[in-house]
Amino acid sequence: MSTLENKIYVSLIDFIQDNQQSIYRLAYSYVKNQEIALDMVQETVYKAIKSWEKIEDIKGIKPWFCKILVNNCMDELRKRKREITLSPEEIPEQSEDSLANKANSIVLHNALDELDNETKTVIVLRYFEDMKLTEIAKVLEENISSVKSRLYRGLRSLKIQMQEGGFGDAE
Amino acid sequence: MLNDEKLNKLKGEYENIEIPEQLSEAVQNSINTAEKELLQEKFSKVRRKRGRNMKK
Repeated sequence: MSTLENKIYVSLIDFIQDNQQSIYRLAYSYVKNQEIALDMVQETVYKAIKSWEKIEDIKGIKPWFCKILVNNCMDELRKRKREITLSPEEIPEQSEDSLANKANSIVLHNALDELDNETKTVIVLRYFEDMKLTEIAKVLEENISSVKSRLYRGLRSLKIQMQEGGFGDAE
Repeated sequence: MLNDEKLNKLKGEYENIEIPEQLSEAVQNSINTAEKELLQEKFSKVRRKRGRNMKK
């Protein structure tokens, strides 16, 4: 059977094509720059396809792919060694675009960016990408207890930062 | 712990990240490049194998 007809290979291509927007969002949540996020997506897609034979089963495609993407983004951030802060102009428009809402958006974004990359990864994958804790553990190459601890610490830290940032009552 | 309302707000902002128009094209280009290289690698392996068999 040729590569292009292999079930796992075909599923990988389908996964990439069906999830390109969420792949992009995940990349953007790290690098906060459209051009760099696109580069990260392209690099990850290329690397994933070139090493598709490492995928053990179809169910494992998503965590395996996210692991490559997250590692690429973290490498990029390390390479740049610069603090990425989100300017108010970069924050997506909200349906209710009152000044108060915009200010809250900045607090929310900054709160997430204040977390260390691994903890942020757990929050983003769990709550924004609806991934299971077992899948997140594969992405980070950590055991489930560590992922649970990160999740708990991350949520607590977000709550504190959002209170400090004046985002109302975080209870 | 952070409540659902705040988490949903964070999720809403995440989902509102603007998607660039060139995303599909960029993804397709990467797929095409990687597939082309995979096929080339496979063909060169076959050619090398054939070459070895001819020498025998």
